Formats: sequence, structure tokens, C-alpha cells
Amino acid sequence: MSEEIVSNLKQAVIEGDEEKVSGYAQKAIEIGYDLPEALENGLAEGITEVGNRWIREEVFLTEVLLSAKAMETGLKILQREMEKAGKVRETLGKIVLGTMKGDIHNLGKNIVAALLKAAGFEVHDIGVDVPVERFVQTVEEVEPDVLGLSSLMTITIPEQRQIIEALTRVGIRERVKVIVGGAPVTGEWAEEIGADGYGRDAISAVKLVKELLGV
Amino acid sequence: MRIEFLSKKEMGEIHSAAKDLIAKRGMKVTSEQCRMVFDRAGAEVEHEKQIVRISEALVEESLKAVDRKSAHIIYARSPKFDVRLGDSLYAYPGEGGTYVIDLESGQRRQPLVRDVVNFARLCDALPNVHTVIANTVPVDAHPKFRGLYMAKALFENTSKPCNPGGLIKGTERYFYEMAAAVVGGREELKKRPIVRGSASLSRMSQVCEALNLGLPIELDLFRCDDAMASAGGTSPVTLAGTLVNGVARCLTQITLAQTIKPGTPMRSLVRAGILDLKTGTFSTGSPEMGMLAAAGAQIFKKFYGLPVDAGWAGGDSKIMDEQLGYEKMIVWLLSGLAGADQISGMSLLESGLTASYAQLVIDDEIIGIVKRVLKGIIFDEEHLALELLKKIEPGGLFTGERHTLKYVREEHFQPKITDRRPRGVWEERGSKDVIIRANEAAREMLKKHMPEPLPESTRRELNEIIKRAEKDYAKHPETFEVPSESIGWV
Repeated sequence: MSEEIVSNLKQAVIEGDEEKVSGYAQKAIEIGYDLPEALENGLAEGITEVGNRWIREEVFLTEVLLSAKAMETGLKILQREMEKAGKVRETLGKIVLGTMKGDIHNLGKNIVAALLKAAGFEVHDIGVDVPVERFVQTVEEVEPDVLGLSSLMTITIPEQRQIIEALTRVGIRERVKVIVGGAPVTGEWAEEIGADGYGRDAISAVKLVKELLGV
Repeated sequence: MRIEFLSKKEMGEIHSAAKDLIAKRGMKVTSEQCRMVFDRAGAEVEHEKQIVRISEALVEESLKAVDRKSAHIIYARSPKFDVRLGDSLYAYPGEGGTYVIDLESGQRRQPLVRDVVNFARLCDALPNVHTVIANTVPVDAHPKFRGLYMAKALFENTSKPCNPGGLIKGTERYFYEMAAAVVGGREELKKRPIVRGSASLSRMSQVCEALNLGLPIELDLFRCDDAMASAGGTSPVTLAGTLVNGVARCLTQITLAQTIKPGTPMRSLVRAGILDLKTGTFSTGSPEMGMLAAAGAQIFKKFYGLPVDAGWAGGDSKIMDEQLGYEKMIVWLLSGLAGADQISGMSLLESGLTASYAQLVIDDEIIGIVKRVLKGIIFDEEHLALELLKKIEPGGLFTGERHTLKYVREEHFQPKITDRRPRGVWEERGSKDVIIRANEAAREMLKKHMPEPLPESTRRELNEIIKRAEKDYAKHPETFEVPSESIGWV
């Protein structure tokens, strides 16, 4: 049974079956399985696989969302247990994510958040329709390694530039890497506004963050 | 010629379901001012959650209050171009292109004010563009005054009804002054409000502001809209569920407008589509978009008796190709067949991101074809032609008959850019595809077509109004603000 735990967790995440994921996570705890191992090779592997299938256009967005939800449920169960045992999962870095003011799209951002969490990052999702000042304030308070700006509409991408300018103005631009994403965003745009990187999709966003932080 | 996707019973069920949703689950109303209006009308309001629950009785009462007559006329600066919705299918370009395909180079670039001018002139020349809207957002005009420059470009270059868009708060009054100058004064503008009907309720606080605070007289007509409900995204994946969602939103907007001012004329805007769940994009050329537009047209026109603007074909294709052609055709044909009064998206591709001169000419042809289909098969003695059939010997030709000449123009669609020539002739003429032919036609029209000019004094007046707006801004910049309210699709 114990060898199967990892592959079962991975499969349940791929199937987006929240109940199965929590069942296997509980099981892993009961039998005293290596929890970091279950997390990395079970949950994280599963969601990465779904992310890759999404990029290959083999699955629907719905499946990605269901898998992300299942993964997060498992993640919570395992992390709670690990904390109890004083074995906190070492985070790879702190990320703040949010969608521009005037934009209430959150699907893309949520997928990026789920994949980053699975990969071992601490994610602070500050939601949608977020004004410039709140981004700046959050960067000051949370002190993230990376700030991710999501924008799904052409009319809201200018906000990304304003956020970068505001960070510069208050003198904290150098403290954080800024990455941008969303349908109307291009690599050209990222360069133009002085962002540190641009992710075309959720998988490449995770890769980008890892590269930027050298982890 | 009409098609029906929904039976009367099904439309009734959608109506009941939408009312049920509004009364029990409630609707999200982000504007506090609007929630206060609902509150005063006796709706159940949860300010913290921004939720409003409206009784079925209030919704029904509001539906009864709508002025259904005066919403049908769209005034033009030339009365001969006035549009009377209800008797035919009318088309217009789509708004908001952030790129344009250059007429000369064929390259995709940022639009300029001269593109707004040229598109307006081309729209003026094309027979199947009935109302004109600025289909690009020019980058060489100051964002604060962009709307005024767009209005000037439209007023000067087309005598068809036009709606420039792009206005920001603080510039509306200059815009109304410009409109008044065009029709010959404020009094005349009251009689012929050439700029009414521009306010869509997708920003619900707009209606509160306009009706509550008494914005200029011209803003007395509103559109309810389905907020581009996306099947699988902001609404159920099923088309029926998406219709309920869109109708619920429209009924909420109708209730809002009628509660503030009973008898406010209204039109409806249907732009529901699907979220492509493989790519995560809102499709503007799917067969389902055509079906939703058709069903929406049926519901709003037949069930609610409102003029319907349905069938926005922005196309998903990034270039002018076969994909763009079939995307546009399916959306427009289905909308037209279901009885939509207006369809739009002409000149656009790439989900409305890019505007193209050649595509505007191609779309004029597509709409010509759709309008031909709508005319249907005319059935009377002359059209049945039994007498003529008896006159011509079996197997004989009808080509040289008077009857043929008499009816050929109305019975057969007369293509302009479609090529039906034999291969040899087509090759002799340069083996050109439809995009090249449309592009040439666009250039030719821009060279030759002269819109009915505005009097010199009016043109001067328009310039002076814009200059005054710029001066006022320099003095009091705080009165000009770009709206900060969320205008997302959801």
C-alpha cells in the first residue's frame, strides 16, 4: 500500500477528485508515510502533469481547475500534519499575485497560484480588481521575492506599467522581481514596461519564477 | 425568412428561471448608488455582499413600464439615413480595435485619428453599413479628448447615424455641444437626438448617474446587456443556462432603469458566447455564439418587445482567412434569421482586437448575402412563373426573357467582390484572392467617395469646441477623469 500512496495521490489530483485526494492524504498520515515525499511526488507531480496536458490542449480548463482544487485540499492536509511534527516544508520563495484594477478575471491567476503552491512557493493571492496602491502596500508588507501581475483585458494592461512605476517611485522596485501575464500581454510589452519576465502560460510562469530566483 | 431556436413555452421558462434567480439568489450590483435605488424600490439589499434580490412583481412591473416605441429610431445627421429598427436588419462595425491592418502595407499597426476618418468615409460609402461606430482607438489623440476627436472624425465623414464612443467623464458636455452644432442647435438636437442610445448599462452606475443626476437630455435611452455571458466561464456551460444568466442580468438592468424613471426607452444587447475551455479564451466566432445571439434575439424581440442588437462577430482568426469568413457568416446569418435588428463586428478580426479596411468591404458583402437570405423566397403568381414556364418549350432557356430582366436584381444577390468568373478571366485579371480584391475596392472607394460635407462654419465650430475643452482642462484638470470603475466582462 505504502508504495502506492504517491501514485494514488498523483492520479487523484490528475482526476481532480478532491475526495480521493483527501482520502489518500489521510492514509499517508495514518501509515506514517514520508509526507514531503507524498507532497512532492504525489500532489505536485499530479498538478504539473495536468498543467502540461493543458498546454498540449489535451484537457479542458475545467479539469485544470478541479485538479488545482483537489491538489490544494491535499496540500492543506499534509502541511497541517507536517507543521504538527515541526517539519515545515521549506518554501522556495514568497510570491504575491493579483489582477489589475478594472479587471475581474481570475482563472489564469488562480492556475498560476495553484502551480506555484504545488512547486513549493508561498503564495499570497490578493485577488482581482486590485488598485495600484494596494499592490505597492502589499509588497511593502509581505516583502515577496516575486510580484505577479495578471491582466486579461487590453484596457487594463497599462495598470501593469503604473504598478512598476509606483514601485520605483517609492524606492522598492529593486526589492522584488516583477512578472506579468495574461492574454493581451506579450514579451515585448514586458520589456517595454521594464518587467523582469513574462509567462505565456501557467507552466512557464513557474519556470520563470524558478529561474528568476535561481531555485 | 425566420428560424426559431426556442418555442414560446421555452422562452417562458427562461423568463421564469431568470426571475427566480433574481428573486432568490439575487444579483451582484457593485454600485452603491444603484443598490440604494433598489433598496428604495423595496428590493432586498445586502450592501456588504453587494447583492440585490428583486421580487418577480417588481420585475414584471418594470417590464411593463418600458417605452417600446421611441427606442426604435436611430437618428442620423442626414434624415435620409435615419434607421427605424424593426423592419429590417441593420449592421455596424465593431468598436474598440487596438490595432489596424494598414491599407497600403497590409501590416498590423496602432490606429491613428486618420484611420477613424478613413473608416468613417468607407462606412459612408458601403451600402450594408447602416450605423457607424469608431472601430479603432486612435493613439495619436490625447486620451482625455480622444472621444471628441473621434466624434469630429465621424461627424465630418459620414452622414449616417454614428456613435463615436471613447468619451471620458468631464468631456460629455463638449460632445453634446458638438452634436448640437452638427444638427443646428440644442433645440434641434432635442428633436433629432443623433447621439442618444450610447449608454450601455453594463456599467450600472452609469444609468443611476444619468437618470438620477439628470445628465444631458440626449442620454435618455439605455441598453440592457448580458455582459457577454460566457458559457463555461461566467455562466453554465449549457446554452440554455447561459440564456437564463444573460436574461437575469438584463431584467435587473431594465428594473433599475424603470425604477429610476418609468418609461425610459430601452434596447437590448446580446453578446453571450462560449469560453473555449481548451484555450481559456472567449470565442467571438463560435457556432454557439450565433445560436445564443439567435435565441437572445428571439427572447428580447418576441418575448420582451425590445429592439435587439445581437450577433457581434469579432472572429477568432488572427488574419483575414477562411476561418474568419465562416465565423462571421455563422454568427450573422443565425442572428439575422432569428430576427435581430442590429448586428455588428464589421471590419474586426482577432476577437475585435484588430480592425481592417479590406475586412470591412468583405463584411459588407457577407451582410449583403445574409440580407438576401432574409428576404426569403417570394411566392406569388409572377414569381411562380407558371405562365412563362408554359410559354418556353421544355428544355428551353429563360435567359433572354423580359421576366428574367425584370426580376434578376431582386431575386439574385449581386456580388461586388465575390469572384464567379471562369478561371481564364480570373487569371487574366491577376489571379487575385478576395482579400486583394477587397483591399483594392476599399482604396478605390476612399479615393472616389465624398461624404456629404458639413458646412464650413460647423467644422470650425467643432474645432473650437475641442479647443475650448482642452483649455478648460488646462485650467481644471480635476474635472476630467477616466472612469475607474470595473468594466470587466463578468
